[in-house]
Amino acid sequence: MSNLVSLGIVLLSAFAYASLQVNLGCFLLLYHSSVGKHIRAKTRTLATSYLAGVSIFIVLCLAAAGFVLLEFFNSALSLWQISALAGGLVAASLLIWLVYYRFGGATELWLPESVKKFLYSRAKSTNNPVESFSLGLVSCFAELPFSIILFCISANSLLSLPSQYQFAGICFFAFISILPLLILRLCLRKGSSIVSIQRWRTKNKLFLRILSGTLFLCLGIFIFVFEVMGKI
Amino acid sequence: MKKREQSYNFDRNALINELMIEAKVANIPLDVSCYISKLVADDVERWLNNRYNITELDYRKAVKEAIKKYNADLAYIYFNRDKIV
Repeated sequence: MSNLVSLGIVLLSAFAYASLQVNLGCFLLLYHSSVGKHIRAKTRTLATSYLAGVSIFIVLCLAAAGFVLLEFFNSALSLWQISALAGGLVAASLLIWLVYYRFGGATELWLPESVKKFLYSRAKSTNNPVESFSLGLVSCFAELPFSIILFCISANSLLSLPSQYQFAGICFFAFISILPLLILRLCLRKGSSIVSIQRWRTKNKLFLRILSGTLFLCLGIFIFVFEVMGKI
Repeated sequence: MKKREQSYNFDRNALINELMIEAKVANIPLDVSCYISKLVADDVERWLNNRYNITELDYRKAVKEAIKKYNADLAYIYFNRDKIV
């Protein structure tokens, strides 16, 4: 039962991470600027490097969170720390519902202006796989205010699994998290244009916002019920 | 044109190049994009006739109207390229 609950938390966290939009937006930005400048093969290489950057950042962040929990929190968070994280998830869900997207017709997010400018300038000037890889890292970094709670929660759950499953759990989390990027890449490869994808994102902005906020809220409630109330 | 107290002249070739790049992003064939870009540049040039000082906002509005006439996808991507993230 305990292992199932841990797996459930990891799965829900990964889906919540996958529903965040900065990675997806940066990927589209990179694709947009690269398709205009380079041949298709180079664009594909840049996209692959970007995906590698995002995956490695997620794996490293999760591993780092696990290491911090192991070293400084005796491998498991206390009840009040888990309650605080569950409260943080509920607050994050409210933030996503209310202020994550900018108002208006486009899919702009409430990122700090300097971060936004940096992401745009990096995406435009990316010409080789190393730059693309680092853009993946930077885009994940920009999302940390929301994702850091997910990393802490997932790392806490992964540490309660048997040690042989922990690395597999990290890879599973990373795979689910980059699933939207993989699907997007597949769509672009099959011939969909950025215009149709961006139109779809704009049209379904409300749906994406509600989905993302609901996933955070569900995860918060799930943790509160199974990890806090279950142990009282 | 004026942009935050900076003035610069209309560059037809720069506009055509920008449109060709965006047309490639929108999967528009090269010959079609070349033709559309020239038509848009002609329209904008015609609009600019007898206008000596205009704001960038007016210019962008004129370009948008001109592109919309020929290809909606191109107009969409040209004016939403800074609104993805």
